[in-house]
Amino acid sequence: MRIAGEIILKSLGAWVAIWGFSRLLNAPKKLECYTAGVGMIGWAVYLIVEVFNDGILMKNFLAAVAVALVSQAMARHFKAPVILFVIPGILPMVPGAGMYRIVYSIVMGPENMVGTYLLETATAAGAIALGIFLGEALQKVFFYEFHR
Amino acid sequence: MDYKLLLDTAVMAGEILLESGAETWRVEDTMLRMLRMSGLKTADVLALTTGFVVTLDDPAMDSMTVMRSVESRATDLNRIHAVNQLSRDFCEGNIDLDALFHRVRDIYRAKSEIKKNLLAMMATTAGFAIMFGAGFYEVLASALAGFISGIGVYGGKKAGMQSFLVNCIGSFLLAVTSILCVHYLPGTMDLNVIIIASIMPLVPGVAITNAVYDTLHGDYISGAARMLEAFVTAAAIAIGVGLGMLLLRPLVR
Repeated sequence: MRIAGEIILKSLGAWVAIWGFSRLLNAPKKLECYTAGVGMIGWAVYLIVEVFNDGILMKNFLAAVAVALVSQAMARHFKAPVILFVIPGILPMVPGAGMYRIVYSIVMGPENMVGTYLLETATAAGAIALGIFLGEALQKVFFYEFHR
Repeated sequence: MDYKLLLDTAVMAGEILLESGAETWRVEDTMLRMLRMSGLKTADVLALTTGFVVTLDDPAMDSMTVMRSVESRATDLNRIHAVNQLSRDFCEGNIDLDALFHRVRDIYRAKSEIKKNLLAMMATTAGFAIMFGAGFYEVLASALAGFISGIGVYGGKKAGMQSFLVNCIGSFLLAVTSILCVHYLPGTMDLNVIIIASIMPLVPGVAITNAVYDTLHGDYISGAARMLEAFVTAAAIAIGVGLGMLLLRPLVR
């Protein structure tokens, strides 16, 4: 129960964060709530997967697949390019902090952590990019079949 | 059809897209779609992260080639959306070339202005703090740090500084603010969480993910360029935060 509550609270936090970020990225005004929604869904999936599997790869990958699928659906509905939803959507899990940690440990130390952070960041970025790639491919395969 | 006008329109559209941080394949795709409406034999585009070359050719005429380099890039989803919509309308035949040219020019002239959006900055940093499971005071401190670094970032951009320097200033300010908050606000707070949450608006997470994505798409040059961009931005932020930490070392527990 406590975990569920925490997941809901953190997801709401993701909504607020991505709403603000959509403003900073100058997303179209009427779509702000929805881009934030995509971010919230992505982070919720991430946290739920994290409960079952603690690895970096799985949670980032599945969350990115979810973001890609939801973004495709929204892009179709609002007749907007997919990138409008994908970029805000992946913002919560994107390894920006990892990039910072890599360079920070190079500059300020401890230097032996550089490798660890580098690997973590590369894994996360790769998993997210792969997830989006797969989400797009899946959507192309299935959606076009249904609607011909 | 006036091929010169079509080429000019496509070039402007491509420039807007590239400036607004669209993927290179989208830039190529949008320009190609517009140029193919001419019905000429050859229409080709090569887009890189920092510029593009576009050519239009037919046996019956001299070939036309235009090269543009794009110096500043910042993500602006609204402009990507607008250009995408226009090119879609044009290719479906809903608007003619003249209308397309004038509308694209309007977007082109309305250069993406520097928005003072400190509220959005605060919402972002506070939201990220909640997302990372921070406590109430930590969220407050992150919002404050986001606000202060936002002032620095907008001030720097207004003064026309390089983005490296802007990021340095922004992250220096947020580091100082969060260290002071941890020291003077009541309750025990985790400095790391506050700093990580408040650097989120500056940090190149999207750049590094896009780098991998571009590489998977086969755009190796853009992928490498974005990766380098991500590392340079991260270096600026780390230097800024590091300076703040060094300056206020006595206060960091």
